[in-house]
Amino acid sequence: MRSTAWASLVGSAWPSPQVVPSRRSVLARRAFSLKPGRPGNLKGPLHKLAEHFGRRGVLVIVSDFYDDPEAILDAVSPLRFRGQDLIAFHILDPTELEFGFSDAQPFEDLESGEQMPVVPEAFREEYRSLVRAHIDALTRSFAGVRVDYTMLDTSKPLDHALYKYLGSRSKMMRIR
Amino acid sequence: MSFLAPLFFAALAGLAIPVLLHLTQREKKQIIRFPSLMFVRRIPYQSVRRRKIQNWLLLMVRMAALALIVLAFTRPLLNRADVPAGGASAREVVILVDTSYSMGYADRWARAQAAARDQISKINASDRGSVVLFGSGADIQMRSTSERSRLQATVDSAAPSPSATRFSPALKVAGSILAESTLPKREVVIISDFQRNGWRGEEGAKLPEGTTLTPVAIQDSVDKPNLSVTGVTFTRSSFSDQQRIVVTAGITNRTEQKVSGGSMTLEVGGLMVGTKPVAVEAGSSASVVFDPFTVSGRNTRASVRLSEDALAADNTFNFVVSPIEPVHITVVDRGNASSALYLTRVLSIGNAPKFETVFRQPDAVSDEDLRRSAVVVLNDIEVGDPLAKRLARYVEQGGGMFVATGPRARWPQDVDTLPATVGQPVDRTRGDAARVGGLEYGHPVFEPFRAPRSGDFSAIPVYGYRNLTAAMGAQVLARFDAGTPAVLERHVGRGRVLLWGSTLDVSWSDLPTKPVFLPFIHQSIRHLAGYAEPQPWLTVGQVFNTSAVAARGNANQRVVLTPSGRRLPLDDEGTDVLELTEQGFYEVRGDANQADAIVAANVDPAEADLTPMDPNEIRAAAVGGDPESAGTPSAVPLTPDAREKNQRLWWYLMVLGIVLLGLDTVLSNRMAKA
Repeated sequence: MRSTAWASLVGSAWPSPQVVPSRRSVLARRAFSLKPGRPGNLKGPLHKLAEHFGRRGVLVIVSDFYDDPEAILDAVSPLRFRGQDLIAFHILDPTELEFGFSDAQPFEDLESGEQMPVVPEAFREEYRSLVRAHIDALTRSFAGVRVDYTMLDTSKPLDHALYKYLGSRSKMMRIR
Repeated sequence: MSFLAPLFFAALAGLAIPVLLHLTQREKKQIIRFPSLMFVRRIPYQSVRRRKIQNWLLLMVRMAALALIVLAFTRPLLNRADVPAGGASAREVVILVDTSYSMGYADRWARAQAAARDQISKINASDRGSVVLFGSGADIQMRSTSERSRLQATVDSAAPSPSATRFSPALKVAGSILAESTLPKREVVIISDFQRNGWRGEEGAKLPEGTTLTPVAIQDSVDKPNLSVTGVTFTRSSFSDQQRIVVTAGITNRTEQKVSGGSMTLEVGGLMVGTKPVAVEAGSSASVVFDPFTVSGRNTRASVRLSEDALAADNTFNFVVSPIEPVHITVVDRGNASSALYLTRVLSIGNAPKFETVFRQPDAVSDEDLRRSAVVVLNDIEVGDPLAKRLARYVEQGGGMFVATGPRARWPQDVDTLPATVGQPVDRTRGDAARVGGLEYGHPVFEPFRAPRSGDFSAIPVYGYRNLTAAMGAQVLARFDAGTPAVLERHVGRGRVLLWGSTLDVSWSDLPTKPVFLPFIHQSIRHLAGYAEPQPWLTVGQVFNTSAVAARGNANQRVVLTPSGRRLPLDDEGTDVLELTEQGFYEVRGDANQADAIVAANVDPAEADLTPMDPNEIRAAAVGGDPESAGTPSAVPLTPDAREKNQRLWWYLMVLGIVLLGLDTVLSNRMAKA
């Protein structure tokens, strides 16, 4: 990242984007100080971001994308329409992928706070198939609007995943 | 309530497992914080949520069924004795009343009834009482009731019977009543004159543990005069072709005072034919000899009676007399006196029965001879075809035939009547003579020779015999030493044929000169004639075989007329034996309503011996322990029978559990279809 560049941090629950200097130390400090909080959605912040940034830039979306693929696509479409280069990092924990719980116990939705008694063994396979279908749908949707989409498993080293992503992006850039 | 197999309750834990799992999962409080339950919400509700019980009714039915079955396996036991219906003092009282004929002595019976009423009056509303009348057997007249009026009525209507005293059956009946009782206290009261003759030891008469036995002795302090007739004997004689009988009656005086001034009468056919004075010293016996009387016909009723005394039942002795009917025999021989010498001598001996013999040559045998004869003896003759066929018919119609096969014996081969085919003579004059062995001692002919030194056939030399080959259906009763049959029997129609393989004179054997010859011939003739010793009387309690009478009349029409006038029908499906329960004359009547047989029944003379015993002897044998402690009733544990009765609850539980499982199946099927 060049020193003259500006970077913005956008939280899905924030009322407006926060623009910070592009110095890496500042950006990193602000990024690491972020904490998950209230429930939010992608559509509102990204639409505001599209209005806010008239210039073309690189927009990195880091999200668990717990939303309908069509809604996500609807959220990113204005940015993509304005020519922004979008990179989507889909961050998922292995438990979110595999749902490897054994005991029946209450589950709490971190966004809504809703609690639900769940017997994991009873529907693990069904959950996995839904997650796979969701990832596939996101992959297809982002590919359709030329958004670089990468699913990152938090159990795997981040540098490996980024290296892999960057390698594929450089190839794509040559094609583009 | 207790349980015989409480370990089965562990199986109930199996029922709790699903419920416990359910409760365990429900109680888990740790909450998983998950980024989003978006996908969880999309999964259908049933597979996401903890499965809830859909049908409480079905669950309850299943659990109840399994619980009942488990409960049945634990064998629940109702300890009714612990909490009796009538309280802890309720009694099961069995009153045994002696009705043997000795209770008719003086006023014993009235006192026995009074004692029984007294015992019944002590029965409370919570108690139950039974009345058992006993003599040689025991009958439950009223069983386990609290209604004193019914018990009283039973005692009032009872009367002494002609039977003898036996305590053992009565105690066994009482034991069976007490064994089925659930009341905590059990008592047996014996009201009897406690004759020594009625108790022969323990005899396995053991009452349930804890039973109280109370003897009530009905005995007399004053010795009243009493004579009893112990039996009669006959002396027969002939006068002007008529049989005369002299009756001698035995009398016993068991009291301690001389009895005199009385008399004894003899009644024959309902008419008094003689009276004799009677005088018997104390504790001694005497006999009374009556004048001879002529026996006019078969089955004549006769009785000897003593004058009245303190005990009436033993004053009369009944019997049946008949003229001894001879067994008619036709001996068919060659007319040679020497060949029939020994046979003639043997048949001329004997009075029971007397043998009336006629001798005929083969061609002189008439139909009248065969009709009159019970037995035909063929003494080494050649039988032609016509006579053989007549004899075959005679045997088939019930006649008996004895065949002696010497050197002249011939029988047509086409008449299948003899028990053996008569083969060639076997000459044993050279070398050792033949011997007879292998006797069938179980057969009536040889049964008298069963005992040691009662006749040895093997010592008799036989110098010649015919080689006999047994016919189909014939039984070999004796064999010669070479193995060939010596004596055979065959049933032909309703008659029998006996065949002896040698002669009845001394030409071929020494048998006629040996002591066994007479009993051998007499037994053979008796057996062939179907002769049986008539029984002048039986004792009450014995049984009479009516099947012997049945053969003569129409079985479906026969009845037995008892001394009290009751008519007991006999039929093919009825029993052949009749138990004599009354003193007097029983008549077996055929379809013509005429007496085919008369049976005299007398009381057991031993019962007339009133010598008492110590009742504690019975109490010690029946309830054990010393008599003093036996007088204090105490609560007793249930007998095995009663315990088993109280355990029957498991059966109902099991049935109910199975019914519930069936209901569960029906409910499940209906829900599945719905």
